[in-house]
Amino acid sequence: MSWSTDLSGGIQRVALKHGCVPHGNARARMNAFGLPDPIPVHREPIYTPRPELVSQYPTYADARQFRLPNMGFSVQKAAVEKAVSGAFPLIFTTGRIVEFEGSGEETRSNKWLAELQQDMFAEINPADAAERAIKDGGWIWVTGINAKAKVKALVTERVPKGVVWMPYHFGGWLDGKDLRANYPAGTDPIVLGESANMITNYGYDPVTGMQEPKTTLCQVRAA
Amino acid sequence: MVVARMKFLCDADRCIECNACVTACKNENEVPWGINRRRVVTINDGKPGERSVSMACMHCTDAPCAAACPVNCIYTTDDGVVLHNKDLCIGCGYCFYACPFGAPQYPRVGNFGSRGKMDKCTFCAGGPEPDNSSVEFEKYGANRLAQGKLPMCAEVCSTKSLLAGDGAVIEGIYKDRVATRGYGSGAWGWQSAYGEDVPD
Repeated sequence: MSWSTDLSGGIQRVALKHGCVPHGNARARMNAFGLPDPIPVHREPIYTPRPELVSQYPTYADARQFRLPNMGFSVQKAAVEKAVSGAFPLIFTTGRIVEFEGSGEETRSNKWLAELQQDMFAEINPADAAERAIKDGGWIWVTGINAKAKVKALVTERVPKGVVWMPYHFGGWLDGKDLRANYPAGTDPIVLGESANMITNYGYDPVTGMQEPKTTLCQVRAA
Repeated sequence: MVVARMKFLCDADRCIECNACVTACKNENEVPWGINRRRVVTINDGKPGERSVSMACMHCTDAPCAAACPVNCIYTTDDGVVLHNKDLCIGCGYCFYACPFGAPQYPRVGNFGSRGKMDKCTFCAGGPEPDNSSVEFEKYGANRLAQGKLPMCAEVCSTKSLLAGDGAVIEGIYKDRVATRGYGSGAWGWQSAYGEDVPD
């Protein structure tokens, strides 16, 4: 006999009386021991498109973590005070494409894979592209808080309006310049492109020190 | 003995555009940069209703490329695989115009972008040279069929969207699949290639 076969409802009644979920014998527990937030809470990114929310949902306080300072709180506060989001109205995020792996040094050196994806690009919504006179396949400058990158535009509804997405598998270009000549002979991958990590910026996970490669701001213009 | 009739079937409801078929084909047959025996075509990219389909030579029944070829270099094997003889091919490009799938590919040779000898999917069955000889590999790539194996593209398909093998068998697999899941947007290209109704 179990809760699922007890049509009298007796097992369910007793279980509920003792605070148990009748279809299991445990209480759900949401407590990540040892983490700064034992229960996940919302925190605005360091560079947020909604600066008015930072006072209510700030990032973690400045602290010394491992042997290094993590100054996320100060950087976030300064960004709000300087109204950085005004100059960088688009949300910037990064991700992976199926052809390449990691920073792509190895997979971009594989001729079968390199042929499938020969250009570094940024996905941009048709509405944002139209405002900036950007054509699908045309060159654009993506400007981040600290640096800029020259990539091709992929105008697509896959990203919502206000969001720019770049794959993080490319490297070998800097500031719009191809640095292939700087590779030691025979080590240059077949395909080079701007690194998405140049557009991302300050921000470190308080527990692991992992960098913030997923949420920041940018501006885009046709090159 | 009943001889198998080899066919391809791409289930567009399953293809996830991973390009494993394209990559495996290039690696197995050492296909040079710029020549694509197989490619994945995506329509409505990034929009609801996005569909991908993996396309190569479908090894048509009564192949239109063979009818168009002025030097008769295209022939059909006993297994129903459409192959061609690169020693006869003159690179005229007629087969490209005849093909409903855009399968024939041509390396660019010499000046003015002139076409070299046609190259296309061989169903991993090589060409007219002796099976698995080095001269056959050089011109046409692998001959897996002679080794009792199916084409590499279908073997590596992660979702089993791309099926290759005896037409009756893969048609049965697709029919069962459509019956089980209750929908099927069609085995794209099946009707054009084999002159039969789409199996569903």
